[in-house]
Amino acid sequence: MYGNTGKIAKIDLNKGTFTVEDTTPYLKKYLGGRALNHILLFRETDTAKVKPFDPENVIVFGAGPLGGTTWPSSGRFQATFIAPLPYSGWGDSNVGGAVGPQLKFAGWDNLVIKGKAAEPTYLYIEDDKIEFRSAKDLWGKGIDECMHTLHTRHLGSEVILIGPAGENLVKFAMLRTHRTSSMGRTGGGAVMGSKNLKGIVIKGTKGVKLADPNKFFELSLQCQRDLMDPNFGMVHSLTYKIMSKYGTPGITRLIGQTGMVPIKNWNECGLWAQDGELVEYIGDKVWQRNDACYTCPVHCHGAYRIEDPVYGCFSGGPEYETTCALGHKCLEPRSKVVLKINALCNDLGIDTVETGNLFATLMEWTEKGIIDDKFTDGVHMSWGNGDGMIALAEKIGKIEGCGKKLSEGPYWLAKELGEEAMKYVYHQKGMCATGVETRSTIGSMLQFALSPRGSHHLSGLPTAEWVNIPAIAVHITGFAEAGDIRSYHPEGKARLVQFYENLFELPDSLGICKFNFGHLGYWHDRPEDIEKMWDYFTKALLYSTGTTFTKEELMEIGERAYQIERAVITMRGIRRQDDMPNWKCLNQECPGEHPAGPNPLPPIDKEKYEKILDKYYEIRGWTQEGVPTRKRLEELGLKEVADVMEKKGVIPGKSKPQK
Amino acid sequence: MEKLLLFNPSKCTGCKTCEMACSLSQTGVCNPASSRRRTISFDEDILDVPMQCMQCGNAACMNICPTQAIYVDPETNAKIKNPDKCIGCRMCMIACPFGAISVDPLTNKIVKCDLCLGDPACAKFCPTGAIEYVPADAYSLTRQREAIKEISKMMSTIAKGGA
Repeated sequence: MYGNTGKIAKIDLNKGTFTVEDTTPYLKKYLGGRALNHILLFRETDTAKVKPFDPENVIVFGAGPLGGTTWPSSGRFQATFIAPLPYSGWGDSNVGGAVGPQLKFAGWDNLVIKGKAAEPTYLYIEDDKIEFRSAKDLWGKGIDECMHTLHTRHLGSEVILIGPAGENLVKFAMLRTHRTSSMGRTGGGAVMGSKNLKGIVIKGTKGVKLADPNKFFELSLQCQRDLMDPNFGMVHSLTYKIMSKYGTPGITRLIGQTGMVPIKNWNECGLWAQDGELVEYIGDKVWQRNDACYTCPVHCHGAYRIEDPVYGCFSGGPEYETTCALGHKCLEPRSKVVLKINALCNDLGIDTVETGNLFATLMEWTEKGIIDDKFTDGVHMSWGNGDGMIALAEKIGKIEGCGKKLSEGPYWLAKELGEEAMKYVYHQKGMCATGVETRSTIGSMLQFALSPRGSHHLSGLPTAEWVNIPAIAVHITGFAEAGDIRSYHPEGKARLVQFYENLFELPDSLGICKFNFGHLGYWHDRPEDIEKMWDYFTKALLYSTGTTFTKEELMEIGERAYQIERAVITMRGIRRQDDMPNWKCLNQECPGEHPAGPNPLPPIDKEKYEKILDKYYEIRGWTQEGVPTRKRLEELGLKEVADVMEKKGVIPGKSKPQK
Repeated sequence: MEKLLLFNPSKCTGCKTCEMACSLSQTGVCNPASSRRRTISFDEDILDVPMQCMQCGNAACMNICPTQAIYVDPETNAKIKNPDKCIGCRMCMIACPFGAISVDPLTNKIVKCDLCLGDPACAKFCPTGAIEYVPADAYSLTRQREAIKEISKMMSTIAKGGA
């Protein structure tokens, strides 16, 4: 097989054995990576019922047909599982680095891991060989030390690992690979921990075969040159110039101008006085040099070493999401403190985004008198108390003292504390938002609220709206209003969001970076650039896999993947009410300095929002409760999904009339 | 002027595109294990070094080869292995001071860089200019200019009474 390697390993931790499945039949319908992960998860476990920490839960990893090639940024790696953090239970997380390519070099496209090892274990994969090795000597230790140990023990390998937080089932525990790359969101680290699985070490020597190596070589080189060309596309030229030096923190002011950057736990938004200092501190002072994921010309990562008696540390990152969560949302102005907490989270294995969201929520609860200092073991969580954040981060990772309850994350804590506490948790479906003020842009609000894994931008941020490009919005939806950040145009917004949701499944399924995917087309201001992007990817797939894919077929693969996500979460009880914006979005205005939009931003208009939702459900082929219908699922070739949903009583049987 | 394949670790971001480009152009398969060059990462030092065959003038691999299987290409000055003469004794691997000669796991044969016959894929693909294929004099002049910038920075620090 070309592009993909042709093999899926199904690993049973209970027995310490594995079986092999052929990838070939999946290619045309699921490509690989994310979309393939989804259907494998659906088939391998009872996604309607299984609890995140049950041994029957499955964690699927996948690389995608462009992964591990000369294609720019071919290092992405996708995990899919039933998650502990969002109450929807949908778990997915994606990472760069080089672990995905290494899996393919070893001859595997996907790993399906189920069961629970009897004792701490790590998987050692070397080409066809998959071994279950003892991780007793690594258990309880930080990721930095374990990564060093394993890289030295297995020279030339790539490693993905959990830290003490994952072992301790912290609901927002992450997996990390490389210095600078983490699968942060939804709590995959804890699912690994519940399986006694410390990590995966991969060393491959078989490589990825391509259908037309010469044409692929030339096309990928041309694509790399386009990505680095300062005159290529509008938004891209801005982001490449900034991100290749300052990383994602470099775009803080750019998006702050649209009012999109949240400040003080989403009580304010826009530009923050500390923005400039933070960005320059990272890009100019502490990053010794830029770091790249596999085959990526953008090198938006960095690593740092800070010499300081209190805040001294060595780690990778931070991303914009980290600086926003620990800095902006918590009002911590000192950059080196933010970087110290980032280093701690990286070593303990906790998601910096949800950690920042938790601290910001604790600060607001403290201010409102919902909790007192006893709740946090005597640490007074006032705004900007970075030293308190450092103390609590360690307690969370090691579940010491109050760390045990804090390890549940803000949503699950508020479930215990009551309705008043829940008002200040800026979440959707149980997971707090990434660094975006969703009241600023109506399409983003819809996309964040719908996102199966909870509030975040990666399930389809409608970029034609937030960079306000009417030409692209018209090209996609037929409505110029779709590109206006304040418009509640039902059909425009609904079509825009569902389009981007389907689109954003593709880079994760191909095994490439979402940023570069956007840079190549949908972040441009010229519709003709979009056609150029499709030309790139249909050709890249032809030359790598030898199989023809049209633009329409690719978009259908995207929709198929999204509908599986929705099917799973509706089987787990998600309905229309869960697609409504959170309390703050509906009831509070948000003041802030930014040139775009009104100040303060008004709350989301519930009635108008519901009109968009109605239209969105209609376009998706869902009921007005947001449940996928058999008709739409069967049109997409997902009869097996409809059958399971019917068996679970979520959609009506064929013979019965639909309510 | 002879062209040289040279690397600059301070420009390397560790993306390893060079390994992919090398293996794809040499073998038709994307496989770092078949690559004629490797980028070595030192995580704790935030350092990646693109290692490669230096095409030494008085090449140890060539001198030690018992069957004279390694010869000099007159156009590029590359030291190229003749597969018909190679007996697979691996003496060249042992002799190379840079570890730049390896065994391709797919063919189990000794492989080494041949400068892609004058158009090296690694240099073409390197996105940061950490790997360059340039005329020797141009390279020296560029490095000298860079060095002078560093020296002038030091001089101005000294003039201000620093250091």
